[in-house]
Amino acid sequence: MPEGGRYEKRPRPESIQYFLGAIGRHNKVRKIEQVEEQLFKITKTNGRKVLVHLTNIYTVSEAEVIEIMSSHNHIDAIVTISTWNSYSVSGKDVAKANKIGLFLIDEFMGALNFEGNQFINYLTPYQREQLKKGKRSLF
Amino acid sequence: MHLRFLHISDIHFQVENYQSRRMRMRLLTKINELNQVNPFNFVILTGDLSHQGQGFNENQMRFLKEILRILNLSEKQIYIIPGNHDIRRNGDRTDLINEIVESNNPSNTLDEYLENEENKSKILSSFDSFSTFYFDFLTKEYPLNDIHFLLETENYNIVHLNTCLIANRAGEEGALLIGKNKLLDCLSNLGVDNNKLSIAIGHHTLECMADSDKNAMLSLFDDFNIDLYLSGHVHRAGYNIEANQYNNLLNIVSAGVHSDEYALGGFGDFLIQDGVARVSQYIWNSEHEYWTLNNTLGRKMENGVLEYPIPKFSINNNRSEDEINNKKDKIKKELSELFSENERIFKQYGPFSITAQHTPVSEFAYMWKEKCITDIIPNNKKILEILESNKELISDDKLFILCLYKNHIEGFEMNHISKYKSSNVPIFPEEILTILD
Repeated sequence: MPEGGRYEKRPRPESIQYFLGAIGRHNKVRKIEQVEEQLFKITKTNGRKVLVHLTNIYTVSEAEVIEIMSSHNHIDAIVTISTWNSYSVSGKDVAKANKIGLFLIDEFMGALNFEGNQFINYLTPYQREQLKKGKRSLF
Repeated sequence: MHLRFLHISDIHFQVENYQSRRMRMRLLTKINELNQVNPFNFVILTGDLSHQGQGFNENQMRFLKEILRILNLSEKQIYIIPGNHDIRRNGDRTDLINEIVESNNPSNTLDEYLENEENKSKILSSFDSFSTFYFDFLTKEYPLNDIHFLLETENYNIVHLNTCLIANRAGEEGALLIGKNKLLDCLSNLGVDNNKLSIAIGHHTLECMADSDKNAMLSLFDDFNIDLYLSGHVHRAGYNIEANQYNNLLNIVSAGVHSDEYALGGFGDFLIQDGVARVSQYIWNSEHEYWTLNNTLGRKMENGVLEYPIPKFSINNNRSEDEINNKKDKIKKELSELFSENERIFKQYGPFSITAQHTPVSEFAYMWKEKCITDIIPNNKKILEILESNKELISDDKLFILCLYKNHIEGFEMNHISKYKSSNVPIFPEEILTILD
């Protein structure tokens, strides 16, 4: 099938605006600031800070997670903005092993309600339901 | 069919002057080179291994064995017939030949004599040393008594002709006889529906035969679907397409592998592929001592290679070409529907859709993911299945596209249904859309 062409890894300006708007309106978020082109600092209502790398990588796998990690001193999460995007199990595992949450945007919105491991391991209600049914692939 | 063979004639081994020795030495190097590029399947020797009836010795055997070794062929892959220099004259045979030649109808007289065991035995008495050599070299009898004989293989037929039945003296060209009744017996084994590549080999050219026998040979070759006639004797290479029959016949004459005042060294290289014979004739450059393509034989060999569509195969080719094109058109239509459907889904719901360009979050993304599983992946599989089961319709230089496509759809499927995903999956190869063009 014709899945071709160049896929822009950096989020488009409208995606960044969407991210700023959606996260800024989250009820657990007090403030969101764009620190760098792809780095955002979220201050939660409980005072905790969350550093997020925003990307538009179509499929985030282990290699991309390592690349992103190596470009920052510290981050708490990687979010691949478009709902057309996805990530691999190995990408998720590498991120988790480094105490980083790897999320699609809808997952990240849910994860912001939690802290620590609950944040990193967050699953959407649909994913939890799928997990119960024993389906291997949640992504 | 893909067949390549070598045609050598008139080695006249006992001629051992400098040029003859050099051309034989360099022949081995040349055929080795040619064989490396595209291996030969067999060798044809059209007589006169010997010179002026001097018989056969270890040198001839060694040289021929060296040719086979270089070409990685066995003794079963060399076809030999006698030439006039391979026979030994004797008085009884000479008397009988004179009787034949002086009779009212020499052609019919030879036919009659060949039916008489005593006369036939006298005619064949000059071939003893050739028969012995043949047996020693190939460890099988030359069926001399059959006069002419047919050797059938899975892909081709070789009709061995003895054109030397009444050969006995110089200047007899134009009056030689074939023993037409025996030729009919031999060719009858082929059947009139013979559809294999069929090569007749004889020492003398058709022009060396008496008109009556030349005409009989051409008619019989025509009726029994002989495609090529290969000969030697005249020590000059040449080609001729006999078009006065229902089917054309390609005559090829190979020059010799010896040197004298008249002879120009030469040998033939035949490639039969896709119903076309590609004949290359090589000529010996005596000044600089190397073999080179001979482009002096006629306008059809301007570039040194004669391309001759074998009529028997051309008819099949035309028919099968139509069949292939029809089949291709049908498959192209089938593929086009599948590709179009995938493209529609991709453009409507995919990551490059207008919706995806404008918003990072949309239900279309979920629809896309579902459509990939319900439509695109099954369509991809159908496309691959169609192409793989019709691989023969894809030209060799485009087969790599099928691999690219396979890599793409495999990765695409993994990215959509497996836990293993990667951004490095090859993108859709656009060339797949024209793979059958």
